[in-house]
Formats: sequence, C-alpha cells, structure tokens
Amino acid sequence: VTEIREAAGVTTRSDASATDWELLYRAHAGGILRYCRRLSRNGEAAEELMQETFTRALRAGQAPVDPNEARRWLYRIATNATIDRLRRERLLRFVRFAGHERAPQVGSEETDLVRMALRAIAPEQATALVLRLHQGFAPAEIAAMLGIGEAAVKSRLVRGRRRFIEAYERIGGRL
Amino acid sequence: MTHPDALILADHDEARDPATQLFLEQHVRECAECRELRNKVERVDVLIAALERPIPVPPWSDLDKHRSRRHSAVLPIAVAVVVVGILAGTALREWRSVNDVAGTGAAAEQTTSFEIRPVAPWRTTGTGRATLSSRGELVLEVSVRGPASEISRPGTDPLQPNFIWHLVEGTCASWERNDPGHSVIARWTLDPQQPDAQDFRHVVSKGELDPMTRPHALAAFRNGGGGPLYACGDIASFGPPAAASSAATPAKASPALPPDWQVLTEHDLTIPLPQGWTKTLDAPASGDRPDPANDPRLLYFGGSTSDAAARFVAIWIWPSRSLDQLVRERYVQGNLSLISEGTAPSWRPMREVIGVASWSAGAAGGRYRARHLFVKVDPERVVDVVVFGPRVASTETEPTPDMRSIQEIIAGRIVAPSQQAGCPRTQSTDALTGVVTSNGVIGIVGETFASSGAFNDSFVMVKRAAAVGERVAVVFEQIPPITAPATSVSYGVPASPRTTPWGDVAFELGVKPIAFPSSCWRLLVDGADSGIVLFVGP
Repeated sequence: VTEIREAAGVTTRSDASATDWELLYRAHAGGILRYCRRLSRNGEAAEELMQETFTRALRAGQAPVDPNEARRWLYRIATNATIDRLRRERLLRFVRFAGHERAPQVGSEETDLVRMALRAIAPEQATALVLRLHQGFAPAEIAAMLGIGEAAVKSRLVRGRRRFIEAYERIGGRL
Repeated sequence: MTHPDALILADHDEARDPATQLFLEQHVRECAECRELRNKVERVDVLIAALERPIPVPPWSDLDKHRSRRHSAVLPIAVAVVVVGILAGTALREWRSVNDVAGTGAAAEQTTSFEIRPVAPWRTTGTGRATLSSRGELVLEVSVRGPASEISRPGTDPLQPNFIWHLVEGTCASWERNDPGHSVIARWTLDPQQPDAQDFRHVVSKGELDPMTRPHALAAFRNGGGGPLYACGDIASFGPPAAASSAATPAKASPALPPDWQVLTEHDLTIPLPQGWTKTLDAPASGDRPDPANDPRLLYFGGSTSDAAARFVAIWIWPSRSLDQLVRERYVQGNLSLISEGTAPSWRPMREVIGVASWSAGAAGGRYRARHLFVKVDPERVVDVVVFGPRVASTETEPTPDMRSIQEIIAGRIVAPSQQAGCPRTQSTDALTGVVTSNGVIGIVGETFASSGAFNDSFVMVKRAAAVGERVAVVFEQIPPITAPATSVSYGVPASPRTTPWGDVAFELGVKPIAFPSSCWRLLVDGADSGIVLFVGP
C-alpha cells in the first residue's frame, strides 16, 4: 500500500487503514479492467485507466464501507477517468487528414468494431451504455454514481444507442 | 407516420405501463422500419454486453511497476499525434528566443554530431549537432532537407507546420518498432521557413532533460492524425552531466512589484494586481471533468469590463501535486489546441503553454491565443495564470506585451501565505464529494483557509453519522511558530441542520476565536486529532 500511495503522490495523507485497499482491488480490479477495456483502444490503455482509477481512489484516503457503495464509487472514478481519456482521444482525432498518415487499423473482430463505435460516440453516452449493458448497473444506480438524474441517464442511453448504431454501421459493422 | 423510436431505444431500461407496452408491440408489428430498429437495438445490447476476453489483472503489489511501464508506452503515441491546430507564429518564436537566450550563457561541455535519416517511405534527411552545456541544457542545432510535401505540408493549409520535433529517450530503431518503455523528453514545432528545408536551433532546458547518460533520439513526427515517424537521428549518450552551478540555474530574479500595484488575498493566495483591478469571477470550474477531488477553481481579475480588450487575467487553481503532470495531462494532452509548451525562464520553476481558441459573436469571429504560465504554490496546488489575445474579428491575436508583462509579475510573485508561514494546511479531499478530510470521518466543507479579517466567517465542519443536536468539543491547537496570543482555543459546538455533501448536518466553527494573522491550527474533535490543519491568513 505504501508503494502505490507514494507512486500516487499521496504520502502525506494520513491514516487510511480503515480501507483494505488490497481487498478492494482484488474484488473490483478485474471488473473495472473489463469495463475500461470495452472503451479503450487497447489493453494497455485499459490497464492505465484501471491504474488511474485506483490511484485516484487511494488519493481519496478512504473508500465507502458498504461494499455496494464502494463498487459504485470505484466505477464512478473509472467513468470519470474514461470520459477524460475519450475526450482527449476525440481532440487528438480532430486533425486534418492529409493523405499520408497511417490509417487506423480496422479490427476484423466484432469486439474491435464495438470498441471503435463506442469511442466514436459521446463519452458520456458510451460510458452510460457500457455501465448499463456490460456492467449491469440499473439506470438509477448509474444516476447515483454519476451524480445526475435518472432521466438524464435514460436520455444518454437512448441517444447512445442511436449514435452507436450509426457509428457501428459507418465503420462497417453489420447489425 | 410517427415512430416511437425513443420507446424502442429505451426498451430494456425502464418498466412501462401495460398500455404503453401494448401500443409499442402493436406498432412494431405493423411497422417494418420499427421492427428493424428494434432488431438493431437488441443486437446492440448483445454486442455491448458481450464479455471481453479474460484479461489478466496485475497483482496489487505489482501495480506501481505496471503504471510506470504503461505510461511510458502510451505517452509517446499520444504525444505524437498532439494537435497543433494552427500556424505557430510570433508567440512560438518568442518562446524559442527566450529559451535560446537561456542556453547561450555557458561554454559547451560536451558535443556530438549525428545524422538524421529518413524513415521509409519518407525522404527527409539531415544533420544535427547536440551540445550538453555546463548548465545542463541540451542545445540542438539541426538542418534537414526533404520534399515540400513532407516539410511544409502544402495543400489544405500551406502554412500549417508539419513536423513536431521530439527529443525522446530511446533509439530510433526502437521507436520505429514502437517498443514500450520510452518517454518523450521535450517537443516543439516550427514555422515553415521554406518549403523544403528546416534549419533551427532549439534548447532543451535542464528541467526538461532527462540525464543524457542514456540513448536519446531526435525524432520528427507528423503533425496530427496519429502520423508516422518521418525522420530520426540517434544522439550518442553523454557522460553524467557536469555539476551545474546552482547560482547559474535561475534565469531571472523575482519580478519587482510595481509601486502602484495592490496585493489581494484569495483562497490562501496573495495575488499582486495592477491598481484598480477587481475580482470579476470566483467559481468552481467543473465543466471539464466532473471530479470533485480534482476540479479547479477559476478566478478572473480585470481592469476592464470589455472582453474584447482582454485586459484581464484568469487564474486557475488546480489541486495538483505535480506541475509537470498537470501541464502534461490537462493541457498538452488535454483540452487545449496546443501551439507550444516549455519551461519559462523564471526565478521559480515555471512552465509555459501557448494554446489557441476561437470565438464567435453573431456573424463575427476570430481566434486568439492564450498564454498560460504554471507555477506550484504549495504542495497541493498548481496555479495557472492566463492572458489572452484581444478579440478582433477575422484575426488571430495574441496577448499584448503589456498583458504578458502583467502576467509574468503575477505568476512570478503569487504565493500561498500558508506555505510562507510553514503551515501544512489540509487540502486532501474525499474523491467522491470534495470535502476536505484527512481521516474520512471529520471534514471541512470548502476551504481550510480563512482571512484574519473575516471575524464573522465560519469553517463548516462535517462529521460522519452526526445528528442534529449532537454536541462536540473542539480544540484548536496552534502549530508553531506561534503567532497568536493563545496557543489553544476550545469550545463546544452543536450540530445544526445544513445541507452538505456528507448529509444534512454540520458544525459551524467560528473563525473569530482564532482570527490571528498567519496562524496555523490543528483541529481536535472530542479529544481526538482530526488530522485537519487550518490556516488563518493575513
């Protein structure tokens, strides 16, 4: 724990012994990694996001005691980190294509197309879809997690599905 | 015919009343278009729900090591595609020139020449000379030639600079293979000088430079689009840098405070400002990332109400422990159209980033540059002082020399009084709510800083599971150096109804009993150290 706390630059935080970070990590790292993977360009980026999630959690000093609340809390942090990353990637894609760049490799596998389509839509919609459909959170849980209204979550899901369909078909996916 | 698309798209997200469901089913039966949409939605749900292949999770004990390696691997890729949205003009030239000045003062310590070779199928080639000065700076003098299509990017925007030069740690061969374990030391771009050539001198400051005892390469990446490596040259390793004279390192003295300036104290910062300037904005800036523990605060100070004149300064207060990390993550790779970034010459560590933004008002519009100067003011905060080019329609503007000068004085002299007083004011927050806390049980809503003149203000203390009417005994113990007549202040305080991120109860701790200028107080609650340190400023 000390090692990662130091890596996270949080060595001056005081006692966090109330949270068993290793236990929390064992319980949720796999799920969060899969969640991030669905929204990431590659496995390394997903692992970065998972790392970032736990680094930010450690910085908080203490996790919620209730296991369900702790899980939602971690997913909220992961979602924020993911949205951040997706926005960044969006900016980086906002570049004139002059005809010489290496074209992005279109994956032959369906999962690659799913990931690409998710990254092509608004980050808020993409994360809502993955939290709902891949991680199984109810709209009310997502709302509590993200600090927004349930109606807003449902709106993101509806718009997200529409945009996903458009994006998926645009990059060659067949529904 | 109106189709119930929204109902179909939300099919599995909500329970519906039987009448609505019946309507939907009937409509779908009769509408081929809606059946197709429903089939697609069901397929989408299955596709997104499909489990990823099992991914090995790094062991907890190994996480730190993974972070370092992954970061190094991803960073160069991200950096290589950083957008330089527009022509790098005067601002960049000025930035380069000041860096050049910083690099010319000392005799060369170690020099090596290197070849820059094209990376197939590109043809840009050239030569370079690298000098590690006695001040620890790396001076690069480079000359490359190649076809205009590679050097100056004719076409959609002939003035857009094409190359982003990178000083990278690692060899050219390993960069071409995209091996992990590399990092970018510095990067910059140049105005197109002529269609088929670039000749430049660039100084990589000691602060940016990793020790040159390992292999480095100078690489040109295409500007944008995830582009490939164009040209690359291996720079031979130098020996350990000669011990630099510490007296030679600071490039400038602290900028003098003009006699007619005022100093305001805001958010535990003393901020020098031109006489007559006032605060025009003080708000949390949460639009960029909804992360309570990491959201910045945004202050505007100005002497004019006219945005068009840009006679104002924006100050972003970021909760960040690392100047470099903040600049890298939130600006260079973040939400900014970057023109340049580097180390600004200053008596204190300072980073400079220049970006560009566009504006529109009705039919008019233009672009302006923003110059950011970043300084670390205490262990927990980095401040970004920003000035902007004025708004002139159909023109790209940059901050005036006058505003740049004002900015440099502010960035050079802005300090945290608590830091100056040696007070370890608590600033750590609960990531979920943003409440300042050290132990997760006792917290302060808002800031752990108060002004000594604010007798009627209160610190809003929250406590997990507190109830209205509950009474706690609080003790403020002064942390040396003692500046107040009382070394300890104690009183009881009841919980009162108040909506806070931790619930509907709070304890209001009046500032008045400890309102002594530059005093630092440890907060004890019911005899136990809460871990919270409060500071009362000037």
